[in-house]
Amino acid sequence: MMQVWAIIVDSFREAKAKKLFWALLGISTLVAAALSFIGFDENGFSFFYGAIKSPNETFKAGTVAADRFFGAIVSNFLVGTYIGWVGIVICLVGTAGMFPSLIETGSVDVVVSKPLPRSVLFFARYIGSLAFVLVQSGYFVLLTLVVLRWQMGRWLWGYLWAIPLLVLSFSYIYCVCVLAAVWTRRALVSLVYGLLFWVVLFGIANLERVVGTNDNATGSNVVAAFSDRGSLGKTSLIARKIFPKPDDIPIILSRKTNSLDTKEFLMAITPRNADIVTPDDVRQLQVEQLRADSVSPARSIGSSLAFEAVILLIACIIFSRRDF
Amino acid sequence: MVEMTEMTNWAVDLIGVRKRYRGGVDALRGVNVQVGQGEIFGLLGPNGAGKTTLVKIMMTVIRPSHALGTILGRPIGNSRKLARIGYLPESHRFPPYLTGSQLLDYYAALARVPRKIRKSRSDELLERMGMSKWASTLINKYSKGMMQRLGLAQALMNDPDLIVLDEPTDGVDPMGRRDIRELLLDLKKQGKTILINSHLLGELEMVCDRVSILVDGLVARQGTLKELTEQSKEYRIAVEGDLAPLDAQIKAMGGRLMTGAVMLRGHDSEKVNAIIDLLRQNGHMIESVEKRRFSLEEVFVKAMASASTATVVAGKAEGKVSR
Repeated sequence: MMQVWAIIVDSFREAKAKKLFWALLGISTLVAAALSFIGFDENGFSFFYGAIKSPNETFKAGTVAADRFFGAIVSNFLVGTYIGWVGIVICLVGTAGMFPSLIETGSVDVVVSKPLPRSVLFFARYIGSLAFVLVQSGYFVLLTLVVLRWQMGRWLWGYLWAIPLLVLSFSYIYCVCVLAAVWTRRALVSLVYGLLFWVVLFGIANLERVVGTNDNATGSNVVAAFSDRGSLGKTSLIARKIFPKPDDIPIILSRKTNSLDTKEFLMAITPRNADIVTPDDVRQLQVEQLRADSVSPARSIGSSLAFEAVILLIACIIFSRRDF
Repeated sequence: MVEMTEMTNWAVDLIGVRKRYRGGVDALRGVNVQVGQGEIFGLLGPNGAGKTTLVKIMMTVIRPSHALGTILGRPIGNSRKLARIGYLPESHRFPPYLTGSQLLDYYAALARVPRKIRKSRSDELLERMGMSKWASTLINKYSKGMMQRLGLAQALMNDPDLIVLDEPTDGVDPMGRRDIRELLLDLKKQGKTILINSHLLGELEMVCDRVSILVDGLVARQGTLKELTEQSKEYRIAVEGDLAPLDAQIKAMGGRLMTGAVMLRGHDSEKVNAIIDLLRQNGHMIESVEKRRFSLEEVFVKAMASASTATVVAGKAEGKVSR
C-alpha cells in the first residue's frame, strides 16, 4: 500500500507541475463566475445580478421550475459541454504524457527495479493519472455547487455525482491513451489515439441518433422508428453495447440533479412562440428524450467499464512483458 | 560447474545468461558472472558488449531469454531480494518536478523503506553526498554531477546488501569521482557487495577486487585484478642498433622485436638473460631492462583483440570461472 500511495502521490505531483493543470483551474473559476451571472427574481430571469431582466411566467425565483432549470444548466452545459468536452480535452493533453514519462529510458529503470509487480505499478500509475481529473472536476464541481447554492438558495447535492461521473467519463477515453502510450512510448501518439477514439465514440452515439430519426415519423411513430432498425441500426446498436458511452454521463447526472429534461430545457430557453418550434424540432426532442429514457446507468457504466478493463488489461500485459 | 559450497558465498551467481532481442540480435550469449559477498566487482567491456543488458536483467528491467543462478541467494526478480538491492542506472532521468529529498523519499517508498526511516536516511545520505543545501531544490536545477550524486543516494536509501551501479562516475568531476571512490570503499568496509559497470578502467582499477571483461556478449576474462595483470607481465629490453638480423633467433627464444627494443612476455628471468647474452654477443649495447605489469586497460585491450580473432573461450564452458 505504501508503494501504491507513493506512485499516486508522484503522479499527482507530476500533474501539478504542468502549467495546464493551473490553466484549467483558472478557466474553471471563470466559468463558475459566469454561472453566477445567471439568476431569477420574482418576475423571471435575471442576468448580471439584476442588470438585465427577462420576465417569465414559469421560471421565477424560488420555484421548482427555476431549480430544475439550474439542474439542466449543470447537466447540459457545465457537465455535458464544459467539463465533458473542453475539460476532457485539456485533461487528455495534461495526462497523455504521464505513461510515456514513466516508461522513458532512464526513468523506467529505477522504478521497475523496485520490489513491486509491474501490474501494481501500472494500475497505481493509472489511478494517479486520474487524480489530475479528480482534482480538476472536484474543484469545478465544488465551486459551482457553492455558486448554485447562492443562486438557488439550496444545496444541489445530487450535483456532487458529477465528480465521480466525470472521472469515469474521462477514464473511458484515457484507457486508450494508456494503451497507445505503453505500445509506442510517445505522448503525442497517445494523445492522438485518445482523441481519435473519442471521435469514434461520438460517431457511434450520433449514428444511433441518425438511425433513430431517419424517417418522417412523428409522435408515437418515433418510438417504432427508434426500435425498428435496419442493418445500420443493428451495427450501431452492437457498437453502442461494446464501446464506452461517455455521452450517457450527462443524462445519468441529470437524473441525480432532478433537472429539466432536454425538451423542457430547450423550451425554457426558447422564446415562448410556439411557431418557432417546428415539428422536426419536436420529433428530434422526442427522440432525444426516448434515448435519454432508455439509458440504464448500471448497464451504461457497467459495459463501458468492461471495455475499459479489457483495454487496460492488454496495456498492462504489454507493460509487464516489455523490455525497457 | 561452480561448486555448491562456493555458491553460498556468491552475492551474484549467474549462469548461462542469454538475451536475444527481437530481430535476432544476441546481446548476451551465455554469460557466467559470480560476485562474492562483500567485494567490489567491475564489469568491463566495449560498447555493445552486453554489460548494461546484463545489469538490466539482474534488475528485472529486461527479461532474459535464458538465465540460471541467484542474486543474494534467490532467483532473479525475487521481490524480497530486490528490496535489498540498490541500483543506479546508466543515463538515468529522474522526475524533474521533484526536489532532491522528495525523490529520495519516493524511491525509498517504492523500495519498501518505512516512512519513519526515510526522512533520517535521506538527510544522512544528502549530507554524505554534500547535497544537503540542495535538498529542497527541484532537481531540474541540478547539474549532471549533482544528479549522479543524488542517483547514488537513491541507490543507498534502502541500505542495500548489493549495490549495482551503471556508470556511477558519468559526468562527475575529478573531485566528485574521488568522493565516490571513497564512498564505495566505505561501503565495502560495511560489508556491502558492489557491482560496477564502467568504461573508466582507471577508476575500476582503483576500487575493484575482481573484474569481468565482456566482449560480444561473452565473458572474455574474469578474475582478480592481480590474476588478470599477472598473466600480462613482460620485459622490455631497450637496445641500440639494428636488430632485424636477429629476428628469427629472438622469436625462437619467445621474444619479439619492437622499434629499439625486444619484448618478452612472462617473467622468466632465464630467458631474459639468454636474450641479453645473444644481443651482447652480436655487439648490441643494452640501454635498459624494464619489468612491467599490464594495466587493466592493457588487459582490456588485449581481451578485445583476442575476441576479434575469435579466441573468446570463457563463457562457453559453463561455470568455469576463477576467483
